[in-house]
Amino acid sequence: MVRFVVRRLLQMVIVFFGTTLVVYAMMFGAQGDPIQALAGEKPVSAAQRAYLTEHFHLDHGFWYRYADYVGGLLRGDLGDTLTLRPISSVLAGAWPYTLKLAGLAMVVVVVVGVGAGVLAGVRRGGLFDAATLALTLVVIGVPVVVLGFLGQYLLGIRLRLFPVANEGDLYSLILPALLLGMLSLATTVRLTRTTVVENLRADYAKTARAKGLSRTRVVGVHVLRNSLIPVVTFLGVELGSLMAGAVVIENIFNIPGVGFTLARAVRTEDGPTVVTIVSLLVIVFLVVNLAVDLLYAVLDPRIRYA
Amino acid sequence: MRSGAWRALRRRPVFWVPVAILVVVLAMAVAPRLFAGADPADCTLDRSMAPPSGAAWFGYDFQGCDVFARTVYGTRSSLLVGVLATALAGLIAAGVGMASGYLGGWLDSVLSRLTDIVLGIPLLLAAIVLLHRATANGSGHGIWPVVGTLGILGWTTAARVVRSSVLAARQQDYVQAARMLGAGHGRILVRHIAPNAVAPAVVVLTITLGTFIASEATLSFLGIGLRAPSISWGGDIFAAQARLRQAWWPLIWPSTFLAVTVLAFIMLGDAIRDAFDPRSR
Repeated sequence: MVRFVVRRLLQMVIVFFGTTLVVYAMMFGAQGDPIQALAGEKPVSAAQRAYLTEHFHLDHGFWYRYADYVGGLLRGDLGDTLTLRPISSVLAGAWPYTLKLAGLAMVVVVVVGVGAGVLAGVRRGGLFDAATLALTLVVIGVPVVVLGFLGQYLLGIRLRLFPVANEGDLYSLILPALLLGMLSLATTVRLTRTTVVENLRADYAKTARAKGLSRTRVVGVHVLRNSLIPVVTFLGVELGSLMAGAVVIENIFNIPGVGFTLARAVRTEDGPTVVTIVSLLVIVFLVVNLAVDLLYAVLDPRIRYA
Repeated sequence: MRSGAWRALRRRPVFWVPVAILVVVLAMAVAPRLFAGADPADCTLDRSMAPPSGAAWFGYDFQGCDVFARTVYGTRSSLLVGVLATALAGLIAAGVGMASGYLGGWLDSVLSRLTDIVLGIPLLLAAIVLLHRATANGSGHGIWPVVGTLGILGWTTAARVVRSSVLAARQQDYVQAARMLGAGHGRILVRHIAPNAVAPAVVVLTITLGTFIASEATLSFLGIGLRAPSISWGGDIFAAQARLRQAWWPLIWPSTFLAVTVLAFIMLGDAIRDAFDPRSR
């Protein structure tokens, strides 16, 4: 176990440096004037130029700057936006919204997705199964931009069930979270259904039933626990698209979260903020996937991590 | 085996429905004039937000342009971005997958780690960074930055699929036989190994094509994809959303076309995979 954790951590360190290097190089590497790239299409005065050169160490080589940037990241120093506000203070106001939104979306995905998947798997070939399969295909195919507006228009503007923009309370986050979770929800339902169907046929499920256990117990305890392993892996990977979806959903519903901040930074051509937010999101993604890998041992004792 | 897959495909509506949709979409991209009588650039403000009527079934948008004409003409850029980006991603995937699968050794390790890294970055987030840089450099807002970005970032899944097919085929007896007969590396790779990777790669790339079209729309929606004068579904969705309370028709039509096209590609990929791999059913 310890060896596995150490090896997995080393792997993550490599991916972390690789990823931040790629993101950093995409933003500041190659040819071109980095200051102009930082400032976008706005003109830059000589004094500003001198200050930015000093501030972002532009008179040093690429590797020096990258090391400086990563060193800052590791120390928890996120650097400044182009308007020289600390990025950490910008994010401090933003992340609670995104955390609440993503958390709610995850709850929707897990509760509704696993629930519907188990139901569809147990009653395979039934009406509920067919309806879920058709519905999930449609939801997988519809891009989050379309889904977001459709939900906002139908449930928010037409039926007035939910507020159409953020009002700061948890209730106004429910509709965005529902729509954000929808994408992962569809795949979760399908995955759960497939694994439940497979596991129901397995010998251990037959044994459990032959022992005289009730159907609820066989499905709820024996089958479900084994079926959850691939679902948990999927949810870890799915966090990436959940974060990307959050960028879109937060913009549609005017939620001042991390994704909204990122989109605003893109629009105002604020390079350092864009790079930092993307790096942070990638780090979150990596850490969650590490946690998922370690969670396997809890879900499946057969995995020993030799 | 291949004809068996084709026979299985031919009988399923899940295959023919997306094919029919895609034929129509393709025709729209090639000859938009056949579908829309109105000129998408013919905009006058005095009919701004005019609701659907006999003259314009889909109504007019804020600028007073015919929504239907704009949606039909937007097909071309959306499809073009999707197809070109998929072609680029396919090329990279074929190169990386075949090199690491066939040559193996340290090259395989390096390329596999590279694939892990690129796969580890969520596509849309990396695309935002890359495209933001491309625009800041002044490379403009045409389709090429978007095509390049999506292609450079979206090859990973296909590369993994190619690599594993190549790895499996490399050990086969007929490949050993070909080598013993004196065939060179190039010939073995192209004639004996690559054909095994085609079917699984096509499945992945079909689905990728769908997601690329969706990503283009999302990027255009965020303001870093295609911009005017290019007509694109994502751009039109972005323009319409600010006035959603006043008029729904400028938003609904590009959204519907986008969703149906993406759905068709994903359904098609699903159907082909089911035909080639009966176990997944």
